[in-house]
Amino acid sequence: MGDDDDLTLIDESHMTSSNQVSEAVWQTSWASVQGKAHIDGNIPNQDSVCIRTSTDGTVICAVVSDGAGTASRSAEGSKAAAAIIANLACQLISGKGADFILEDKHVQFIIQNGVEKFYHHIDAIIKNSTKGTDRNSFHCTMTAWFQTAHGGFIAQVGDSAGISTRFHWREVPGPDTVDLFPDGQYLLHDVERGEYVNETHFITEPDWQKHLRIHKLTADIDAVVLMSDGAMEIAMSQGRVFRGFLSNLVAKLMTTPDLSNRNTTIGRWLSDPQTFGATGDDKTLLIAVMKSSISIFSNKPLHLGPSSIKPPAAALSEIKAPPQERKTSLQVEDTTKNSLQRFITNTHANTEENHTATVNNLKRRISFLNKLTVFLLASTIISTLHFFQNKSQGKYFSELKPMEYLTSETLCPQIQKISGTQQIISTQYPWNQSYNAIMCP
Amino acid sequence: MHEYSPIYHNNPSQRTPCLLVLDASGSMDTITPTGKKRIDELNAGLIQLQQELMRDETAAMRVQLAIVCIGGESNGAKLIMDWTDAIDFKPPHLTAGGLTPLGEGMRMALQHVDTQKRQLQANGIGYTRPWIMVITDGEPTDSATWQIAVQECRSAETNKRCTIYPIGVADADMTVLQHISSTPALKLSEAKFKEYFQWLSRSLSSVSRSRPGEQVQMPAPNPWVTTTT
Repeated sequence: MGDDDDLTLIDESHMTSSNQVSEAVWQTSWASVQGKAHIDGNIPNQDSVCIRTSTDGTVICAVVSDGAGTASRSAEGSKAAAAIIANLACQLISGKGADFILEDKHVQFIIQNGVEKFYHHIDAIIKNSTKGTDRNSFHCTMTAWFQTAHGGFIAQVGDSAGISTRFHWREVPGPDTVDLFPDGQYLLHDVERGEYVNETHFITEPDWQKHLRIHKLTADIDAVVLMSDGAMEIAMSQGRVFRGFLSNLVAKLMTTPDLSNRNTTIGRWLSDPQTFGATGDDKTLLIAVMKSSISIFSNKPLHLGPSSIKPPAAALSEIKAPPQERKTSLQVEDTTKNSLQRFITNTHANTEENHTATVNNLKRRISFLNKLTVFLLASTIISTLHFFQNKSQGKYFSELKPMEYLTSETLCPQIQKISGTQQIISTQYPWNQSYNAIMCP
Repeated sequence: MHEYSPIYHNNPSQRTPCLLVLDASGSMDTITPTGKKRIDELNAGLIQLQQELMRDETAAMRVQLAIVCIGGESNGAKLIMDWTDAIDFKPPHLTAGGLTPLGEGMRMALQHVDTQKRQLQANGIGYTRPWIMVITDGEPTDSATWQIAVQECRSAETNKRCTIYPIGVADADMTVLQHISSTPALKLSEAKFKEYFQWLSRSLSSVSRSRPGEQVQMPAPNPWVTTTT
């Protein structure tokens, strides 16, 4: 399989029907809700999402499309665009078998043909419509995710975003935590807007191909998130993932086996009245997590605090000496932890029994390092506290606020310990708290 | 010139830049039906603009204003207020006098809009398409410069660098004013500067909240506009 033309040979026998998704490899969840401005204005939800999978679950094709508020029939446009492109992609890719290596030229071919089919569809509508209806009436953006067993791509026209992430164990004094969107491990396949923030590009524009961007995903991702710009107002903060919302939501989904319940959860979070202040726009979110990652990372305490314990890249670049001579103990541990995480991830395809002993050994070593570090830190802190207590008659407490980060209860008041693990309280949403309280910068 | 500014660290909101080109030529000393001078009505209108913007928290954080004055004390075109967030806006007090070098004023306005866009880009701040609001009660007295300005303004609009709104007061030559923009020139009743600035504030508020692809619902200009001649 190498020629683009081969993709035109369609075989639907390997594809699920339109109302089913296979969850053999990926757990997928999605919802699209009407924005407050559209509820008030009696305007339909102009966002759409469509997901199709192969019967064995190795191929996933999902499209999020956002209809333009200025276009009279953009709700129809986004719905047709999402369905046509996702369908075509899944037909073409899944029909090629398990050995098919998806390349960017294939993605470009699929999008090109998908948009042409979409044009064919809306042109037929335009022909039977009143004067003044043209392709501009169906303006919509497109963000597509195509995944096979050997890799994936995100393709975008316009301002709906895609994120791919690799989960990460984090090590701070205390229990291990999981960072679902660690810095340096998640990639925001960012939106394209025009020069102005209230303008973007649509697949219905004559020069849409100029604005098509295709991103290859790394092979070791744990999750993919697609979202319309309305959802970005809640899930992102200043161009970065807002863990208070997205990490909590992904964690919740990982512990919810039923697809219908997961979709309801996303819809409920997105349509919560407290989101109305952030945006009046429609909101669409699709979250896919690898099943093998769920078994490793679900039900673990979440890391929602400072985004990285590593020095920032700028600081690292200033280190002149060989890294191994300059690493701090924390950095050494972090590297070991990364190795462990990669090791665990790599074992997905291998027999777990052969590696269990090695993993346990590594864990024991890290656990020992953890305990040693915590002990040394605690000793230092206690000594310092006693020193200041004597000096300042107890007033030092006000100076120790940064140490409160060590407890997640203090860090994020909406998190409670339930059965030994930290989970969100279902009736109290993370955005109930101010951003600062959740993010603890 | 385009440096990182601490202003944007404290307030990283997207911005809606609006540059006012205000005529403070000698004719603005004319007495209006309310018994006040046009320039006094204009000054009161600027105070109204400040009050209206401060009532809207989002607009106060997102709208940015700058003022180019033509005529007045300098008898030329002068940037009397550089780009300022609405929350920090302190209305200047204009004094009428001199000629109406509108061509020079428009060229200066275009230049400052471009400069500000680069400044916002350098600080990673998103922005909506800048507006240039031109308010004059006369016709340009710098005819050669005016012809250049007309070409530059038309080019700027075609290239989507900004949107220009020409507003004529009382005896303003609306036909000449219309040359600088494809947006219809509107005539402002000389007694309704306050209503105009109230409308401007509400319009800027709407734009500052707009999302990609959304139709911006501008309030109707009925309260201040008179029949265009």
